[in-house]
Amino acid sequence: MLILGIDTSTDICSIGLCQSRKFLGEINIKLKKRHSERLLPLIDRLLSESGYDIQDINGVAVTKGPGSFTGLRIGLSTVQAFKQALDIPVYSVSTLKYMAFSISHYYNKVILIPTIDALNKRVYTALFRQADDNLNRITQDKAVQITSLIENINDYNLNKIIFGSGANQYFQLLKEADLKNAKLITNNMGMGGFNLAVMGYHFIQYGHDTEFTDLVPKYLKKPQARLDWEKKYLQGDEDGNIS
Amino acid sequence: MTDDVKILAIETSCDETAAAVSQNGLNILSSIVASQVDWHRKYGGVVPEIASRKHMEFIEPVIEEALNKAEVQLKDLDAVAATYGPGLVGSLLVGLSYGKSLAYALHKPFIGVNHIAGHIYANFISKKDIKKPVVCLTVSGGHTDLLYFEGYGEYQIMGRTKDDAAGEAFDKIARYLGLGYPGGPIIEKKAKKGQEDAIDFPRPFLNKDNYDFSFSGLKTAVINYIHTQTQKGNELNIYDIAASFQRAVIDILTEKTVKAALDKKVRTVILSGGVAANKRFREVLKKRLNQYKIPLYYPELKLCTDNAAMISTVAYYQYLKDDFAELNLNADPNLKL
Ligand SMILES: [Zn+2]
Repeated sequence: MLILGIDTSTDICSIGLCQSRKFLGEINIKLKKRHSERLLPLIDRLLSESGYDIQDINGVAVTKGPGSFTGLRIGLSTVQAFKQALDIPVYSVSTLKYMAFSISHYYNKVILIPTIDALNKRVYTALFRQADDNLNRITQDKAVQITSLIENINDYNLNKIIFGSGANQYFQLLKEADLKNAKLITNNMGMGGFNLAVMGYHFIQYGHDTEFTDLVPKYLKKPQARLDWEKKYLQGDEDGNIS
Repeated sequence: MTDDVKILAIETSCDETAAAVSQNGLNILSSIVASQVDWHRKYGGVVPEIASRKHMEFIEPVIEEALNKAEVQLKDLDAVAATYGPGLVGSLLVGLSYGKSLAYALHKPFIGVNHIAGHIYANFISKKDIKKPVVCLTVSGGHTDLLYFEGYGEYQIMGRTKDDAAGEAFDKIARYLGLGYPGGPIIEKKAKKGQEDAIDFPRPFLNKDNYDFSFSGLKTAVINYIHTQTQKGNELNIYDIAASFQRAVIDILTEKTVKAALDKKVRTVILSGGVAANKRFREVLKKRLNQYKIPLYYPELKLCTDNAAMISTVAYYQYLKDDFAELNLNADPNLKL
């Protein structure tokens, strides 16, 4: 089963290819705002270097946020089109869960805390527990102040691994905070399209949860115009979607 | 070369999610438009981030519907096309990414289309025997573009707005007067009960020797007028304000268009875009052009406003010239003709 993984949720565009659990290839490249130009040529490159054609793939795995709104829309509309053109199953997963999964093999009995910089001292984050080859979600994906993340994680006694672009951006704040049993990782460890493709393989082979098949971004933040309007007319909620 | 070319086109440049299938260019097999106006109304104008989000939700079902209605399967297509500019970048990217990816996965050629060219071609869909060359004025919330068109593929932009689009000026004045959104139809309705010469609003750019437009000065003049009258404690006559403002916009659009038509010695003038639906504008322009025996033509409303049928028609003429795009085509919010 040939699965393509696509992550465009941050400025590092990552695509990977697996044959069932077997590694075939991966491209990770920092693109800033050029995902629209580069995504398809990179997919084409990865497939042809591996000896395949886009019509050979049996499924696609994609991240649906949180992350860059524009990047997410480019990746997800691409996957929507692949799904329609090739009539193949898709797997769409939280970017944070994918980050946690990507490094989960290296740890046991820890809390994994992936973070994505959400600007203005905020991060997108969620907590996952990794123990005996099982990755379990503890909290939902949320946009939070870095200070409130610091306050909340001391409640957990297990060793904690804080990583991702949020840890990178707010390294000083995190380092100076009195965090117990916490390790900070500031390289881009955790991002790789191959891991995403493997998650896709597992889901497509064994999963049946419709939560993981919709191809609309999970923004976790409302448009500014909507926030302004709500401030004027009603009290807002935490949901990033609009109606 | 086949003589039965079917093209699927996608249009997401502003706040309409649209898809269409055409056969040999002018024969439209289906044209689906999902309007987002209900989601933007409470903000008094198009909110780019909301437009992008809605495109993501609508695009797949809209394309599905266009294919079903045309009774065409993806494998039967000869090419896939999408608008790549001008427009809102976040909106453009949804349709463009989708279109490129669909073409790539199907092993079909991809065609990137200029949205403004689409508005010209919209006219030839509903009336196939329009006498060329033509001058085409596209006026909506997104554009005020004056174009000269000789034949398929040969056109030039003569002038455009230097600030607000004409439709945008209608929206802003309507919002300022608390009348709602979209502003065009509301102002037109109020204007019917008012006097066009009640207030002498300026006609910026009218005397300059070019074909460009400007509406921000007029907009400011209207807002200043309302402000001054309120300060003086005078009661506002909404009808007169609407009528006088509308007439100022009409005069600017009319004089520039007539000048372009005469300078280029064209055989037809074409109107498109949402503002082309304004009956008073059509009346005034028609009367002026009659003096020179130049016929005025405007397509039915659903082809005036943004749609993908017009994009598929442009794409067909590009297809005939092997004018295909590479996979790295990016959205260009300021794309020129
Ligand atoms: Zn338009």
